[in-house]
Amino acid sequence: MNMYVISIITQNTLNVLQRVAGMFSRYRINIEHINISRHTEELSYWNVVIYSEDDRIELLTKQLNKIIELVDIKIIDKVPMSGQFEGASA
Amino acid sequence: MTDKVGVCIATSGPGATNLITGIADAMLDSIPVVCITGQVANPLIGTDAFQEADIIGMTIPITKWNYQITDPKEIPHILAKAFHVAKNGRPGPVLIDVTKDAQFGEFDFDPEQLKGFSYNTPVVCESDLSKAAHLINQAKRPYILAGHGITIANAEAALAEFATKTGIPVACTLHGLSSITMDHPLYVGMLGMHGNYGSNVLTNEADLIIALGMRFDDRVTGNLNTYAKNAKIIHIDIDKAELNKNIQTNVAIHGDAKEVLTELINHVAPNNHASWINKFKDYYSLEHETVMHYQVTPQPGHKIKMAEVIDKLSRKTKGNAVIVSDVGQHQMIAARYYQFRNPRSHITSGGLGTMGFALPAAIGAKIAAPDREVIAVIGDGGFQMNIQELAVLAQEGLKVKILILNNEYLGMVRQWQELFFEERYSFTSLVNPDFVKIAQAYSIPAMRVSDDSELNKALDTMLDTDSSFLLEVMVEKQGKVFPMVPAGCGVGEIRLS
Repeated sequence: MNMYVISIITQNTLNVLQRVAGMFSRYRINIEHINISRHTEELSYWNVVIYSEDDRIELLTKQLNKIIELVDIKIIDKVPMSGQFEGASA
Repeated sequence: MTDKVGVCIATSGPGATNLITGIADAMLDSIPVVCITGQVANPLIGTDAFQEADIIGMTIPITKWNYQITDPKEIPHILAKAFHVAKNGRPGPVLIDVTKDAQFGEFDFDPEQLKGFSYNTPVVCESDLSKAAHLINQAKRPYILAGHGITIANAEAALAEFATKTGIPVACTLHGLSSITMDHPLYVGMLGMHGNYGSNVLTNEADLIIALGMRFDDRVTGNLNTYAKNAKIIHIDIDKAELNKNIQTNVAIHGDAKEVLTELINHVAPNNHASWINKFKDYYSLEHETVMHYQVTPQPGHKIKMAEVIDKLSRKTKGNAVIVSDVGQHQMIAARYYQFRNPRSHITSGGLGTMGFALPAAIGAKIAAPDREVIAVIGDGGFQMNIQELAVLAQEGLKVKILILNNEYLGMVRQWQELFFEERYSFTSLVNPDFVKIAQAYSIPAMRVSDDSELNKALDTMLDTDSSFLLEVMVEKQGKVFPMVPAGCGVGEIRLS
């Protein structure tokens, strides 16, 4: 189990929050922290913190990449968690 | 049937929600379709107005893309984008919701609004091709697994050329069927839970698997912990998210199946693998002796078997028909016993396994390919799940043939209850209406046969009738589909009985 900090850029459109957040819930990954801010009129910058296993995060990012409104996604930090954090993710 | 994008239109509320199963089906089976739904007028959204449903919210997880149009000026650009998204890359469904005020609004159309969409298939890296070719040239027991991507990419000829040059045996997934003619000397059968014996067992003996436009679905792999452990894996797919998803690859190529195969043909050496192919033949003989021969041969005093019907149908149509099957035992029997000779000849609901699929899908197939013989093969359970579509057949005068294999059961569920749930049968026995009378009420000619001696003539009548026709064949009630890989087992544990 690792903590990941994910940076996402999306178009700033209706429903994009639902599309992206829905993908996390589909993979049963709880969002621990999220910040979305309008960067330009067209783009939003996201910062998301989650706990997950490596193989799940790879699958998740590939699926997120298929969202038409998603412009870019990067894992910017990965922190191995000690036992006390295990199970933090649904 | 074609590589064109399908279109369907539904009204707001219940019309839109009734599309959901079909959309989910198209998503899992990579079918390009644009669904246009009506919506209440923009000022009424969120007021629980008459026939208001948040169809955008409901279909986000089951579409490639969806969008709500509230301004008529958006219509040209958004619809052009919808077709672009539905068709390119891995195809899939797109839903466009149009509010009533946008539908009634007016705007000045500018053709420029339709432009700006281009698609290039992924560029294939030369080093990946070289690595793949090296593995292929070195392999002693290579094995091609061909999926739906072959048909979607129109790569049938490239597949045959690649297999012929390399001498590598080809097995197909359920949706890969008909991407290579079944009388091809290198075709070795269908993969999966009810696939052929050798094509499943020998997955575990192969030293190289070349997966083309397939996604290592759980129905194909069985238990992943025991799947293809002796093989290196080359996986070619247009959807990057499928690569290294279920199976870790040695070479993953993100690309269009036709383009990759066409390139790869130039990199590989001519070869043949006669002794390896003989293993498939040996297993085929075993399966034929223990299962297939018995299933297709009439037994005096016994009821007609599903396989016998499909075998006869296959011979009478010379493997040239389009078979549209529903979901269940008859689906697996149609896939196993029909000898497909031409591309785009097998249509079924694979990923979602949607009962009720075959009748409306056959109607669509006939409209797309009016010159081909389209035969919907349906079980008695699934037929009633969309039986109202007989009205469309009658109204449009479409020459779709309907073959009901009636065992008076939800046969596949019954088979599982018998084999894995100690014969505790639960809601699988069916009391059906008179399907012949129902067809006749729609002015569709119909007949029923129960006796082996009448089967040939009945099939001839169905095929010779110059209109739609419903043939109901009363088949063995408690027949089971074998071979079978029990759920959770490895492909090597496939059972012949």
